[in-house]
Amino acid sequence: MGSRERSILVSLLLISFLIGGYFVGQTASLLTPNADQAQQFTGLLAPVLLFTVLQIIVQSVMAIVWREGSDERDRLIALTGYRYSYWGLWLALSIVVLLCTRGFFAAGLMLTPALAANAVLFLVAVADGVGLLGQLWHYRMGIRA
Amino acid sequence: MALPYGYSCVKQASAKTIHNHLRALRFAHNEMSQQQLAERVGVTRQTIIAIERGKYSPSLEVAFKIADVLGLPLAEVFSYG
Repeated sequence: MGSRERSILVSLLLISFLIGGYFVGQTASLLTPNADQAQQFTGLLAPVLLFTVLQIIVQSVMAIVWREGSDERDRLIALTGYRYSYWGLWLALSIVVLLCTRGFFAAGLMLTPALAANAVLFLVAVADGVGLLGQLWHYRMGIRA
Repeated sequence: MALPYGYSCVKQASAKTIHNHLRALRFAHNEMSQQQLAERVGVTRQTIIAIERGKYSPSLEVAFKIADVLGLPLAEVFSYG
């Protein structure tokens, strides 16, 4: 496994455990009508900040330990990953819209700023996760321009 | 039912892939390691591994550089069919 693959795998694990874990734990609270907005907002900041700090530390350490540059194959796989990210964004947006139209309003839930911020984080996390998964897939299975 | 002429041509063309004998040629060239070849071509060792396994088709530039390092014409390193 090359250094780029390891780096992508670590990013994927961080997203899954930190952001994914946050949503698994908070979904019930987020979908409760009249929930404390301030708590929802501060609760959102913790995983985002932790993810950002850990990403910077882990990626820097990995870049120092496994010093390996990137080439045309890495760039092609990264570009393909971005393409998959757009599909991930579309998928996450569909889930959010579905939740809004069917579940939220039926349950009397208002789209608050804190809830919207959580939705944006969800969109970004799913899009990023799909892109990273796509990159890992191409590192394993190969890629053709 | 017979397929239209154009369709069969497209299918036939897409079935063709790029093959290489890089592994054998490396060994024939003073048992050059993947790392050495990668450094001389300017790519990562993972890319050389992917090319040898047929999981990546390099750009023309990288293909020419590989052939140049091995001191062979491009057609002896890569083939299409």
